[in-house]
Amino acid sequence: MSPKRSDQLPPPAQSSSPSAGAAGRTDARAPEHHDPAPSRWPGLSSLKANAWVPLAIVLLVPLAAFVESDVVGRYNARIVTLIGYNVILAVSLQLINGVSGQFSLGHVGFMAVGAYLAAYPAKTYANNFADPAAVLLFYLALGVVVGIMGAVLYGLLRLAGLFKRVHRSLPGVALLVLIIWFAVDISRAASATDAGLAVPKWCVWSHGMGGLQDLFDAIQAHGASAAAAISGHLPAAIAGPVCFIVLLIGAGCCAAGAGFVVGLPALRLRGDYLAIATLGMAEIIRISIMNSRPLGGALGLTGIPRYTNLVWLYGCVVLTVLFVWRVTYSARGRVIMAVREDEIAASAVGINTTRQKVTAFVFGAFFAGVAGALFALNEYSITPTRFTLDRSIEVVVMVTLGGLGSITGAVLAAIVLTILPEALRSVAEYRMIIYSSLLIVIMLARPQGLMGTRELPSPKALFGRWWGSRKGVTA
Amino acid sequence: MQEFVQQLINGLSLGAIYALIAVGYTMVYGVLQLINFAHGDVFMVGAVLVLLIARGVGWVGDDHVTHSWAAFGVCAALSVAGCGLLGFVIERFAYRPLRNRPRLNSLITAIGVSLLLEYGGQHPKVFGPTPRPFPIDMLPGVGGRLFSIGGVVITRIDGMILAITLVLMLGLSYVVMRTRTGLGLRAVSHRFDVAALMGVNIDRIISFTFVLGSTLAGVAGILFAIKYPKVDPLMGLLPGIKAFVAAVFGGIGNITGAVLGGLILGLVEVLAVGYLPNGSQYRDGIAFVILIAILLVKPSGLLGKNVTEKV
Repeated sequence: MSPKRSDQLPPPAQSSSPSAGAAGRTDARAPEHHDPAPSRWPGLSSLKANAWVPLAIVLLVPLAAFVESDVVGRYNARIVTLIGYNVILAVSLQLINGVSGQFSLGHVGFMAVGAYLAAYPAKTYANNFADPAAVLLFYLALGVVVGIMGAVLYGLLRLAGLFKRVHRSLPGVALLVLIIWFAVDISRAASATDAGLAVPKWCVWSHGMGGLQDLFDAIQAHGASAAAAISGHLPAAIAGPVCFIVLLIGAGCCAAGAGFVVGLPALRLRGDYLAIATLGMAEIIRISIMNSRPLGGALGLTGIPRYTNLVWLYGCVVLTVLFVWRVTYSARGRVIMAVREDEIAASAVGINTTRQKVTAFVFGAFFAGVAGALFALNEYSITPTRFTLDRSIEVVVMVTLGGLGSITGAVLAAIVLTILPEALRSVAEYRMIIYSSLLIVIMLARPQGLMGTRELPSPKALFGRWWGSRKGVTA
Repeated sequence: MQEFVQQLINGLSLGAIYALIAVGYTMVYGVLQLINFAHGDVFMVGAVLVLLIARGVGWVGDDHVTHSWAAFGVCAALSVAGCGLLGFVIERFAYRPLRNRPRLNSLITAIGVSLLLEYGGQHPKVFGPTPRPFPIDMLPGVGGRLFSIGGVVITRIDGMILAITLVLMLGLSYVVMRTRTGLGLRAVSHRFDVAALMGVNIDRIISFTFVLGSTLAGVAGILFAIKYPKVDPLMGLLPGIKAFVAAVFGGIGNITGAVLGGLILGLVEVLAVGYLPNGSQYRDGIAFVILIAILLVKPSGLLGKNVTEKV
């Protein structure tokens, strides 16, 4: 406090010494020193996405409706749809890889979680999008069950952690033993049910899982009539969209939950380790889905009702971009960026770095889940092969090409890199070779990506001259 | 018991292959702190090149195969040399220009190189996307058993894999611990800039590291193809990742750790497939579970040093 004061003291002394007239001038100028944000964050005021939103809605949604109406042909409409998914994925990954600086290679894992956990209730409970309450009930029951499971696991881990004073490696060993026990327990129980036998008594965890399954069923059974009543009161015109929105948000929350579970341990790792760990997590998610009977296993889930159209899709695109933009250029965004720039310095000024990283990760995972839900509710059927490592890498390439940290760049790169392979279809054999060479060449020639960390300025700053507002240009 | 010992031997021979690949990962990580994502694809190139060379020379055709260990040896030697060259080229053109940039950039070019090798290999004029049988018939008598003790059979293939791995590891430890280049390698991995001040030619050492690692990966690819005689351009993906897990498990940057990690990973994988119900379905997930567990429990790995970050 005191050194700062002594720094500020001299200027008034200097300015007051020459003459009284000069002192009067400094008084008149004083209010300017209290000028808010623009001088503190140069460029931030021109980064307002809000101004683009009306324009985007006015342009995009009718455009999407136009493309949907079969005037441009199925093939082009398909490309526009792919662009929509990719923009959401790229922008949400930008939050993780660009803004928070954590290199995630497992984004598609969250998309898979969202896709499957939207497709399954949509197929089983939604009654062709007429019963939003039942879908909500499904997510609630899932939340309760997962919450209980998480609480038990957390308790066990804390228990293992209690013995920290005995030996440093004991909690770790206990964790390993627990994991192995779960694996053996679950698989023994599974093979017993396969053979039509009762689950052995010592399969404690699996009995617990069975209990949770009963709880899940009980919640479903008890809530079903209430849900049907609530849904019955809704007019048919509203039930469909409400159901769809519940599915999107529910799937997004499931993916965000997965992001939380994955992120909490993984984000204590750095750089390459994190990349591999997220890659591993995504593979584990995919392998688990492949071995899950309710989710269709390797053959995938078929007969999913379709609801997504381009208007919904691009509505979600606009919302995602707006959300990520607002988070990035908010106070929290600055904190997250501080962690990216220098983790040690950030923790030295009191930022909980793991918390900030997990926040970015959870937000990113949420939108990946929404993208997955949009994808699943558009495709009639989904298989685990749609969510392989290649897809993650594709999204990473988009983010990198656009410029790590630039949302505009991510959007542009998502559009370009979706159209490019289609444009290269005439040289289909060389398409992926060109694609991968491009990645190397870009990294060698322009490592900061197309846009660097720059963003699209606000429309006022761009078109201010023609709108006659000089202020917009200078701000 | 007999079955268990049999499983152990299978696990060891699979683990030996992982160890050969993991050594390359760990050496490159030691000198550059870079995960060479393309390393698994160099492994693939080792196997694929043998087939391509054998077909190109005419020793393997659609209807005939030359039964000759010598012919196979020539193909294998050429292929391993090709892998070494490939490692050199990758380092020279994809990693060296980015050496002083953020590590993330090199990681992305590494992914790019990996994709280039995979998709390049899938091009019909190079190899094509469909798996092809490996010309194991060129090695007469390799399929038999070497010896058996109390019902436990050691096949000639497993014996060969273990013997070759042992010889290569002894050779590697000689190169690293007893030669001048090895001294340079250790110096560079210990402290990059100080090694340069002491007159170590860093560029040469790094190139050498890549050539050495890629050569071992090439040998591993050929051995893997002999054990599982089918090759395709994507065959390097999973063994590559698993070998990386092995390197992390043993403590990345530590050569002994990589060998140990590879052997343990091979054992765990084979035992899990053999003894866990439905184990074979989770085969490829096991490596990742181990990876995540080790990263949580002891991120520096079994033999790795705990590096404290200085501010």
